[in-house]
Amino acid sequence: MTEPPARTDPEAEPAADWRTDLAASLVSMGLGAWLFWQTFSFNVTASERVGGGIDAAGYPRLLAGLTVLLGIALAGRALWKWRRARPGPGGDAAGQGGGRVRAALSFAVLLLYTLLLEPLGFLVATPLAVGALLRIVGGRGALHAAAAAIAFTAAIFVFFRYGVNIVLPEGLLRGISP
Amino acid sequence: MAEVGALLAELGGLVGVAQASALLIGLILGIIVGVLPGLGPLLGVTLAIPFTFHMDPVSSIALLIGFYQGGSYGGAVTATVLGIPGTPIAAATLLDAHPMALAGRASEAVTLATLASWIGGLIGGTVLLLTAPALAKIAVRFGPAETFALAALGLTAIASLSQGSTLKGLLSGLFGLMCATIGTDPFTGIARFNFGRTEFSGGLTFVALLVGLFAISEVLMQIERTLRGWQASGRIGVAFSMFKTVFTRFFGYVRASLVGVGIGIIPAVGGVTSAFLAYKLARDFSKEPERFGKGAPEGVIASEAANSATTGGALIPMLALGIPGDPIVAVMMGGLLIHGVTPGPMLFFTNLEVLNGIFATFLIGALLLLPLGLALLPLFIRVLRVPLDYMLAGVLLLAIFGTFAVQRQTLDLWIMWLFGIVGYAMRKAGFPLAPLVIGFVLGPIVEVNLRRAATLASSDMAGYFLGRPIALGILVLALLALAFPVLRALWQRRAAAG
Repeated sequence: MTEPPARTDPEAEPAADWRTDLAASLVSMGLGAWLFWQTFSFNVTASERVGGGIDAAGYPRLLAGLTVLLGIALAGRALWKWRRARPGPGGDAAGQGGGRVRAALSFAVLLLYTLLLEPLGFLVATPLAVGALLRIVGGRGALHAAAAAIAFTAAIFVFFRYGVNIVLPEGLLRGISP
Repeated sequence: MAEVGALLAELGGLVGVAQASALLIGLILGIIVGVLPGLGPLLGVTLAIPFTFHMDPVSSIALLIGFYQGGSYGGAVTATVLGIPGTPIAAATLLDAHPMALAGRASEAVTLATLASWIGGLIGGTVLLLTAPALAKIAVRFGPAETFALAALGLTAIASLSQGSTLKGLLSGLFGLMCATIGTDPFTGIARFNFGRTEFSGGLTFVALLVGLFAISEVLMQIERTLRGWQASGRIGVAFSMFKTVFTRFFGYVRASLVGVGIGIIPAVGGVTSAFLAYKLARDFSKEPERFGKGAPEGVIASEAANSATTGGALIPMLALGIPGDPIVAVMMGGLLIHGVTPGPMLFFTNLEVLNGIFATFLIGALLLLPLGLALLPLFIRVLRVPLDYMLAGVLLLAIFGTFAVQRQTLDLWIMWLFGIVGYAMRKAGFPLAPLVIGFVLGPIVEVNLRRAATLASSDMAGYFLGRPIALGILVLALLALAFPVLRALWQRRAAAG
């Protein structure tokens, strides 16, 4: 069977190296242990403890315990990978560095936008955020980005306000927003 | 069969103007997200979910079915024109469709893909209509042990058969199950993992989790990758000469469709496998197998008929058993749960109107795909000229305000960003996302039925399950699904050594 020349499957990212697997296993173990510990704070009364321990606290405790166990197994596999690893040009391609900065900056803009959405309102915050995104992601000029951001904001506003009848945050324009 | 006839007679009357409009919008937008590389039906269905809150259940599922069918087809257009699959399920299509386009036969390739998708969708819909009620009649006799075993089977199959390692798939599924425990305990009303906030008493907002996990992480990945513009094509029209292939290659269409629907029923296997399997069968049965990969029309027919038929097959376990077979169906199942409609055997007794609406909209959607696909083809190809940064900004705004619109709470946006980062990190670390969302959807079913079974079993769980052969058999299948990747690796190693 011939394999396709290109794939865009979001599930098919390149195989992670042993360091990534080890980090993922530590996160899994830590998360599982924390959730396991949290289950002891649930207020389960004696009369509710039925079904051989699989109750309101027992079920998540079971899942958390399994998470820890699978985390340990993943750590074991990561170490096995490490033993078999050959020295060579490791790590990601240097060319991805710029992409990561772009993604991080975009994400920061989006978090800031979420913080300012209620106080500034949709009509003020959105053009600022979209303009910044178009500058970061597409490298657009200031005027081009501003014009496109205003067009995007208007289109989304009309769709939500008049299309599906949802009032978006008004913020600074409370009372004068259309 | 008389029941099916009566059902068919009823179906036409079930789809009103609102439902038909939702279906049409879903199909058109679905084809567009399918055409755009990197988006696809999963992202389309995910972004559509928030808007279904304001619809009746049948219109809501009609919109989602439209996205599913349209998105599954749209990838073929990009595979033909650009030589890259718009969606993963179109990967097999490009093997012959793109060489046809390079040889100046793009119109023929796209017309064939449309015809094959149309026939595959219709056959998938017919099998869905015939099989799901029969399966539900058996499943309605299931108790908590069998229902728990089925949910466990769905989850383990998806975790072990999805791309990436079994271990990571299982961890992803476990994380989904854990997320589903946040909120109020279904039996006792005890607050669990609510971080002291009453907003979490109803659990995590499904839409925020979903949009963050799939849409936000995808946008971040696309921003990170090298940016490129799409290469728009020249003019492509309808090649009416291809219509005769429906008669001359009839068995090819039917064989691929049956492969597609059969694969669709099996949890986790999905459209990519069905398309490649049907493609391989078409080549194996061909008198001129050497033409495959160089522009053989049979290759396009096999791949597209199979992946479209898979959509009908994948709905069967969801509707009849309450087990979603793939992530898109899991999202659709979540869309139904939002409306208080619980997929599973009881749906065939308690909510017949919604169920018949689903059958009707699926079949009508499959029928509409042909005229819509061919009539609007130039428009869909023009979509490829949209600059990537505009497309990403549009997806982000729809994601943000679709999520915000559900409860009008900024908290949901923070949950969305959190799961966006979780999804991004999981993709980077090679963890599949599908088991997480399926774990989240199946979580309440797993918990409620396991705890009911545990209560009935008292302290002898092993004895209880041993006394229920169906549940035991399903659990054995779940164990086999877990063991399969290990056995496959061993076989491959032995074959390589031998």
